[in-house]
Amino acid sequence: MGMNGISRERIADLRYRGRASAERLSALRRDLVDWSFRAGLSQGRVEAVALAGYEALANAFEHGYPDDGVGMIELHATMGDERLTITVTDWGHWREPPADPGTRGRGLVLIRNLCTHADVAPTDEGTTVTMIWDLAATPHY
Amino acid sequence: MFDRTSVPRVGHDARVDTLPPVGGSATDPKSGLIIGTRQHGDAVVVECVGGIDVLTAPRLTEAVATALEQRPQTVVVDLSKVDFLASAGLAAMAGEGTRFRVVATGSPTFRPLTMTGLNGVLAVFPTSAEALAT
Repeated sequence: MGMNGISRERIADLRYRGRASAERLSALRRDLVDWSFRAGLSQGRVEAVALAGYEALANAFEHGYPDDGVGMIELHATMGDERLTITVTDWGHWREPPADPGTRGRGLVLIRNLCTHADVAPTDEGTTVTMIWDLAATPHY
Repeated sequence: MFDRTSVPRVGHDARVDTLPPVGGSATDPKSGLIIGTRQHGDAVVVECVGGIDVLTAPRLTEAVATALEQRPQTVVVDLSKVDFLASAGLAAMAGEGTRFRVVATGSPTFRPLTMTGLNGVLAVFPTSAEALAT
């Protein structure tokens, strides 16, 4: 049973791998809303998933896009029994947020506040952001 | 690519499509954000309907810049009809003067403002009437 007494459906993973664009990002956040709503999450959690997921996608878009114009991104959302995991991967160049938090710093703040556990893993090839929601826990927001 | 069976959407498109345009500014429902600007005494109110993300935030930035050009006493950005607010949109509202006010009530807008601490920097009001009252 979900948090609201709604039984959470077994739902197929949500996946996207392809070019990033501002338009694509907007479409993907709507897909995240549809997907998490269909999975039986509460309105508050649906909003949290959409915002955190979008911020990670926007971050990935920023890494890949400005330098080489290729901007490949990957989104994977999967629902376990009481755990929702979203990973966003890019193959661009990780850049540390500037001292002035600005937009990018705020995006990471949102990601860390919206999910139960967040991990940003820069690698030689790019960056993977992993966001986990423990659905049995009471949201802290 | 995704299974897009007919699932009721949470907010988003339907609301944007059915609402009449506000004010006299450029509107494009397909882009997901409608922005209207109106004069209210010494204040300029920039009213947004829809979602503010990387795609649409530049138009809010532009609308705010245009409003500031008129050198009004107050600029009120009304987000009460906004159902998504990403950090790209927060940047459009940050770093402005004391006469810069934001109207935000629902969790899609209030939550990102509080989580980033911007509600302590910007003057946030629950209604546009209250933002314009003082």
